[in-house]
Amino acid sequence: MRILIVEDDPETAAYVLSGLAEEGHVAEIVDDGRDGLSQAMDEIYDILVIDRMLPGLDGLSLVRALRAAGHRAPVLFLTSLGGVDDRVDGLNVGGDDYLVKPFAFSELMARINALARRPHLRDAETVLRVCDLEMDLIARKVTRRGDVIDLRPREFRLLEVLMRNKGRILTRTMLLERVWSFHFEPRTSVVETHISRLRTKIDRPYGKELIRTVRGCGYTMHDRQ
Amino acid sequence: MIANDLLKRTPVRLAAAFTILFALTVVALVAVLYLTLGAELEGHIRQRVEETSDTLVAMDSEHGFDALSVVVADEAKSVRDFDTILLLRRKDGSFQAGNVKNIRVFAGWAILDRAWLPMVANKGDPDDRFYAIWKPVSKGHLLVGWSDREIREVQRLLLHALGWGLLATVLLAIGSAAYLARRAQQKIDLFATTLAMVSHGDIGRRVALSGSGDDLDHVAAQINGTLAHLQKLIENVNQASSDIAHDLKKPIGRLRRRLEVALRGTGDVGDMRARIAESLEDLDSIVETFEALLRITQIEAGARRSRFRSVDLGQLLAEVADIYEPVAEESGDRLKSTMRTHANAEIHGDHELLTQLFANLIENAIRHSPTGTQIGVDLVTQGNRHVAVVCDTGPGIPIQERDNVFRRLYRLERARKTPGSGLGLSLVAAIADLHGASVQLEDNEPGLRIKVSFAKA
Repeated sequence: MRILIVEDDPETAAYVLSGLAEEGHVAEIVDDGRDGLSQAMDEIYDILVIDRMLPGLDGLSLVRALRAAGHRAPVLFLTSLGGVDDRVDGLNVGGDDYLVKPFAFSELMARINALARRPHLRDAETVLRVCDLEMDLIARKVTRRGDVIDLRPREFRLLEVLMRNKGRILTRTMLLERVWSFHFEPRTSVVETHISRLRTKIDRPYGKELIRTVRGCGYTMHDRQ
Repeated sequence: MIANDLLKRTPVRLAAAFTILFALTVVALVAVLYLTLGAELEGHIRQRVEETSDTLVAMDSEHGFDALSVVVADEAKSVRDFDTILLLRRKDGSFQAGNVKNIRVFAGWAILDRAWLPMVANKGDPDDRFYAIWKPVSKGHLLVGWSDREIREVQRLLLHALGWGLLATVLLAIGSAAYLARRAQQKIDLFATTLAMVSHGDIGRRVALSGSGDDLDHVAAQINGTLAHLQKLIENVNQASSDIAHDLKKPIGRLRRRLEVALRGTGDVGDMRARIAESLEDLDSIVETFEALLRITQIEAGARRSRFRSVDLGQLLAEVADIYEPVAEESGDRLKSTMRTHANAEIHGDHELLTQLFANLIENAIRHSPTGTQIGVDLVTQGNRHVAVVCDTGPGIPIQERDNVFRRLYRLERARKTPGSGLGLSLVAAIADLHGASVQLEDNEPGLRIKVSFAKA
């Protein structure tokens, strides 16, 4: 992937850059908002990682200008502004995701992966499939090996998010945001409990595990046989 | 300079404006009197002229021209005060009798100036003007006129009265305005000095109320309320900063020890990695505490209120209860919602924050109670309020601790062994405050019952 990082803190920029390079991505760093905007307009990137507070032009204005010019590249805001409203502001101007500093690199990587390969067209799909597991989004029915599996609405949502992102890692925080709309860190094992319930229903009876735990990071749904 | 400075003060300006207003009122009043009285008196004079000339014309027709001329001559001579003019002239225009002469016959009323009148004898007030009219008589014409002296007299009196009245009004207005302005100024100065003292660090200082309940007292009460609120905020901040420093020293110290041990370690990479992973976890929990603190501060600042929408409290509570029901079960407790399913409980609020509020309360019940605790979630309507209830059968909170638990980083003695930041209930209080909701801690006999009471939307 080709990634543009607009970040004025050299240490964070270097940290992100080396991490991305290790994962085999090509990243470029710009440390000024205005340069960031022109770079993003001139070149083609798979994803933009943009700091909120930048010299020259702040991140919000940068993304607003980019979107006004019709640029669709996914934007991940990276910021130390962890305020309650800041996330909403960031998403309102056209950002796609939001990550508060300090962050774990695995969290950043998971979010970049989820954004970059976001299947725009596949949103229109009505049936999701992973291996022998099938989810009919219109009938709201889940089957595995032909058995109908009875899921509660929130379990259905959790499974849907996992299936839509098959092959990608979803961190605990990402699941909390996307499945339960929790924008805070719970102090009980909300994610683990719900994942475990879901596993009991869709994995355990079939002997083949589709939901995998990625240690210290999150969960992923595997479609490899 | 001083006058300029004085004019900038609101009470002085008000006083000046009122003085001018009163003076204008007096002038307007007198002007109305002046005009109406003048018109009234003029009417009287004309009537008198008509009456006199009618009498004389009647005499002419009854007793003849000669008798009239005798009467006119007599009258003309006897008019001492000279408030009347009389002239009888023959048809050929020659003078017959009277105290004025050589006046041409005109139709209708005329006002004749004394100064221009050819007088028979030089008597009377030279400023007089006469309301006069000609009447035809048998052998000529009769002129009768009456002076306007009465009108001028009344007008003179009125102007006189106006002068003194104006003087008195202005003096009174200035006097009372100055008195009132001084009082207001003293109060305003009191506000200013009090606020100056507060800004110089005497944060406990308050504006003294006069007890009169006037508008300035209201402002003073408002100022005192604001100051009290600010004082509370400042004390909270001070308390929080020292609590933070105190509270974070422990995990940071632990982190330091871990890193030091890792540094001195004898090269087993696996061991070292494990220590670093542990250190990262420590760091994450420290960062989490900071984030929670920041979040509380931002919520308390209140900007979030501009994003309030209509929220169905019943639905929100049901969702949160639904999310935590398996979590409670997992830790051996039982979470039960006793809400009526279709209770429509609309409030004005922030969905995300309210979710966090109730998630926090339920998590507290799960985390701080022994296995087998019953946790209840309910929503009741009391008058014009929706009251959300989260209760448990755990150990509860002793009465003397019920205020303390809302303090930042405060932890009950027995909770110190459970991991946690001591910020959960502070956050609950901040979110409730933002929504104008009250939080009550009660005894659930046994356990804790928390009531969060919201105003209906």
